[in-house]
Amino acid sequence: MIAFIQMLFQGPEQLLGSVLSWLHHASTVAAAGINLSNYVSWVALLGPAWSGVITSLMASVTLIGFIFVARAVYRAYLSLKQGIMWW
Amino acid sequence: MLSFAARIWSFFGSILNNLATFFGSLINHAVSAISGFFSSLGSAISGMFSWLYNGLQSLVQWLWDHFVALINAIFAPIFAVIHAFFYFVEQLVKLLGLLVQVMLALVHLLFSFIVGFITTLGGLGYSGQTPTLPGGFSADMGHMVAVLGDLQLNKLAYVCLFAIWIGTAVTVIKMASTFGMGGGGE
Repeated sequence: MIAFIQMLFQGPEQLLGSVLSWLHHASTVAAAGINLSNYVSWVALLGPAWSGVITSLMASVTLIGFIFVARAVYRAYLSLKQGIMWW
Repeated sequence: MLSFAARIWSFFGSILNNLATFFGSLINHAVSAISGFFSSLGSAISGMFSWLYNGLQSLVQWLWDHFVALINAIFAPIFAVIHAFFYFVEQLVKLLGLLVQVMLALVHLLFSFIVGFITTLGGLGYSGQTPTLPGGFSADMGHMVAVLGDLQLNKLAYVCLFAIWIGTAVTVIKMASTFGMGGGGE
């Protein structure tokens, strides 16, 4: 019976152990900011309206990025909650 | 005459003496026989009791051994089941610990990438300054601005702004409406 229980738990334990080892191998990424002035400053030649386009595009990307991060964290919380609820 | 009397006296004296000795030894023998009888009786009784005691003891020992063996035979499967159950619980707790470790590692990874992402977003910058052109191009650029004004590129910029705003609004609405979905939550 003990052997049967060991056989029962061997698979999930190995799976979770390998997941853990792969997660530990994933290193943190280096954040790299970028100054758009170095690349799209020529747009300002077209007039203030076009630089407004660039500015609003950046603001939009930032807004969507923050909402995306918030949603990802919330979904991680939900999946964590369900993972804890599993047993 | 005197000597005859003395002889008679000594004869009776010896008879009395012998009788006394005889009776003394008789009583002595009787007492020793009785005491021997009683002592042998006592030893026999005590031997019988010790034999009985030893027999009872071995009987009780035998009964106890077999009782224990019987109890073991009856309860061994139950003990095995209980042991298996507790082993199962232990394995379950071990699995749960692994699961929590995986979750913590996932959260750590998520937050490290989020920090990178936010830093990248914060690093986005645009000054809106007109670049300094080489001297020969400035005059040409002045002419071109007039041409571009005629082309009404500003209107195109406003259309682009509108498209960006609409796109942002639609994206935000979509993300907000599916905020908690896909995370496994019900």
